[in-house]
Amino acid sequence: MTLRELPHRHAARILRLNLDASETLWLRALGLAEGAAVEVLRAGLLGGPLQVRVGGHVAFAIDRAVAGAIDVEPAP
Amino acid sequence: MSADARLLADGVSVLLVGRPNAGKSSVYNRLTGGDAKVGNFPGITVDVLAAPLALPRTGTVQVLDLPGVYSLDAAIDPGTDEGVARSFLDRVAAERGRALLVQVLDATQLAASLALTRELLRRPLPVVVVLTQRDVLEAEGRSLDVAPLRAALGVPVIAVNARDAGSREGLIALLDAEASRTDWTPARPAATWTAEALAAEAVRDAAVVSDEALARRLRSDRIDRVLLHGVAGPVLFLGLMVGLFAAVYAVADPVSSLLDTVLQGLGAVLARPLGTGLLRSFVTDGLLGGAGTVLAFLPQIVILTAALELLDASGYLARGAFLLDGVLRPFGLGGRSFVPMLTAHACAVPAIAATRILRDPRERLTMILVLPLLTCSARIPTYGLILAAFFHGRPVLQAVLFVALYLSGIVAAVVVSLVLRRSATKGRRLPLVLEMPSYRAPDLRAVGRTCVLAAKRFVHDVGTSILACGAVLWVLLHVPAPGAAPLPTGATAGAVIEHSAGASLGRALEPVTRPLGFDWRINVGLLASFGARELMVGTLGVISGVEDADSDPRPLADRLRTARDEHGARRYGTRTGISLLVFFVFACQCMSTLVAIRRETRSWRWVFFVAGYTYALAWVCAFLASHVAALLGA
Repeated sequence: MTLRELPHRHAARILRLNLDASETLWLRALGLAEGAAVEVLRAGLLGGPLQVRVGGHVAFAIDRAVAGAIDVEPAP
Repeated sequence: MSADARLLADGVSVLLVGRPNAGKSSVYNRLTGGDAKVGNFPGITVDVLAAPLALPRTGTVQVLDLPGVYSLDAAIDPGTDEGVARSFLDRVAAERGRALLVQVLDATQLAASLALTRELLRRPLPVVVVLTQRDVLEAEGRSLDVAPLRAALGVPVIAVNARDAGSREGLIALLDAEASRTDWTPARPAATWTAEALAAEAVRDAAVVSDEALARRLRSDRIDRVLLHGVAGPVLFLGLMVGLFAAVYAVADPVSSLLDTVLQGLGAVLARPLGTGLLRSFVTDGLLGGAGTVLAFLPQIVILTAALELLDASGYLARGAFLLDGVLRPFGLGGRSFVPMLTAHACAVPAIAATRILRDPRERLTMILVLPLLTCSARIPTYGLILAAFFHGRPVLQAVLFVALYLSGIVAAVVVSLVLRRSATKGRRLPLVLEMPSYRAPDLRAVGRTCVLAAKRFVHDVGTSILACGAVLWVLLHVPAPGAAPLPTGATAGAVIEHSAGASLGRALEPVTRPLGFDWRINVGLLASFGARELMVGTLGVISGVEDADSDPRPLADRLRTARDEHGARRYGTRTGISLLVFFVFACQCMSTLVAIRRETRSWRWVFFVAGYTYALAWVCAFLASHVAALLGA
């Protein structure tokens, strides 16, 4: 499942980033690294970005295309 | 300046590094008392603030505030803040200067921020870690222990409260101790810690956690439920933006006219000893007029800077971008580009400065290049004059055309931006991942200092060029063309312009502008309004011998409508009016805008690019519009 498909307000962990090397590095630097806890809080209007809480404290606006390239494992 | 010039002076430099929103500017302001100056660093194209700081033992050091970065090693594009900070640090390391890296780190985001610490520790420079937001952490029922961090990182670590004057002394003492060191290229063992585990060790829940503290942890979340609500969110944001626009437009206006009155008074005082000759006109019209143009921008710049700083520091700007991104993305624009685009409807000059909130360097450049197309308030007097002159007695048509002029600006900006993203500014788009920081109360003193700095820099960087351009334009319009017969004394202002170098230039341009229906008189108006668009009305008034056209343009409108050439035919028809309107929509008829572009892009190339494409677009569209109008029987 990708971050884009993850139901809102459902805890998950990042499994893999399917982006090119420099983008992967950048996302990891932001805290969106493999193993990080994520939770989609809400989606922006008209196909806008997702608001995602990362690591319990920081929230990011993440473009849906980028979210679609992040594999996650939902918590049971 | 050569690119291999040394970046830092010989003394000790203290470089502040940290993630955006980490509280870096607050620490900088605390340390330096807000004595901010933009440093002049060869080859560095982004603002790096620099100020001296006196340390008791070491003496005076330079404190540098580098752009906020998430990572140095993962800089996707050399033009981003990350890329700039990285090349800065690389050069500092290569120069083997005496530089101290101070990472400012938000304690509420410790785990994520330690990734940057790891990168900094790999550089051969001494590092100090300064933790901020300890008060927020404690209010949320957590406690912070710096001992595990000191032990694991092997560098000094200090927690400060940016709003507490006492914590400044501790930081100063620590910096003093570190700055008086002798070993400036420390070697370190490889890191053995992991960010998550170290953060869990340093930040723990306090022994007793109150309900209030738990509620505070979710405060941002609760506010977001309202401010990011599907319906209420956009309504609130648009309301706020309309308020900001109204402030830039309406509040700035009385202040500007007050400044203008003061300058006119000054002109009247100066005029007496200067007599009635060219010198007086140069001082009152050329120099003071130019100074008035510069000062007229100041209230707008200050209001906009304050608003953007407040929005950004409170955490709301990121929310606005989140709300609007979906709407703007189909047009190739990001959510944040809304702010400069709206501002440009008041004036392009503050809007160009506001593009600094765009992180993607290509998106920012594209925005700067299209902002001059949006209908600024200075175009309105000219639109009003032309509509009154050529569409007399047809109020509905006038209203429709007025709206159409606004819309043409917006459509042109979007279309040109889409074209530029595929040509002149093409390149990869940064993936949109924007931090939405927790809501917090902005540091008002820091906001105030930023406004003062912005105003000073505007007068210094842009103001001087505007004055120079204004002086050149004055010479063109007041000094007789070389070889022209001398004017009789007491010649009217209209006669002065008719014999000026500007009029010769206007006549020389007639072959180019004749297909649009413009004669030399309109050309001179266009030339004069390059100083400021609103000068078009006054200049046409002077040429046509209509006094005080600025305060009441109706007599001038009548004069333009009924003007006849030497064969008795109407000098300007409806077609001329339409092509002049269209020309005004697209042409970047504004030296201040071009100077602002030069300042923000730090290159003349983009200035010529904007001037070139907008005038070409204006000519072609005006030509087409006048022919379409002819087909429709105008």
